[in-house]
Amino acid sequence: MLKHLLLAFALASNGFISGIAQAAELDLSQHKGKVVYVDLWASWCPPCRASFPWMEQLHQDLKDEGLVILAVNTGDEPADAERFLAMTNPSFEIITDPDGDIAANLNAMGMPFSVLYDREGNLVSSHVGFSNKDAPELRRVIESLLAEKI
Amino acid sequence: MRAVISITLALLLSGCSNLGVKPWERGTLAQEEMALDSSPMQTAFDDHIYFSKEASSGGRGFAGGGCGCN
Repeated sequence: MLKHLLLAFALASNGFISGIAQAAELDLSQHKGKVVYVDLWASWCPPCRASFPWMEQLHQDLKDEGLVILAVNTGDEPADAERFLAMTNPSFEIITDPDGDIAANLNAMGMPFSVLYDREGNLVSSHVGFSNKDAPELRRVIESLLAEKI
Repeated sequence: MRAVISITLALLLSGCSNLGVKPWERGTLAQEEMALDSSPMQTAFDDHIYFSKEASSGGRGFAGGGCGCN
């Protein structure tokens, strides 16, 4: 009885029974040696939309210093996302995550959700939401990471 | 039989593990027509009248909701 119970519990806790798929992971290996700013966004989220001009400016200013911005479109209708991207025309990389696998893997607590990695690929910080008030401090942190050479 | 009971119990244990809408799943909830308040202006007027009559305010709704931002 106990053996059966333990086996069933182990299966359930591993996600076999609840049907949870293996979460997708971001491939950061191609950006080795760079500071990577990952931003989870959706076109239905007003603060996400508000962050795009700031990210565009950040990318234009700091891409040559070694900053990579990966904007992960998650939980969005593809047509809505494309319409928004056609309007904003960002120069940074856009990744699609329709099922929210990357968001689940990063344990996003809200939208937008951003994660910052240093040049060695270490997770430095994560941030929920976007406001113009916090943006200068975030930029300062990114610039200080860019100043670190490996 | 025991195995069936064990698996059923284990299923029940994990039954509440996936409740709730994740932040990235709130696209539909974030639509304007899903707002609990269909007329924010009217609600603001009602709040003002309530405050002037009762000398207290608040308690009508809750902060946040929608896309879960901030």
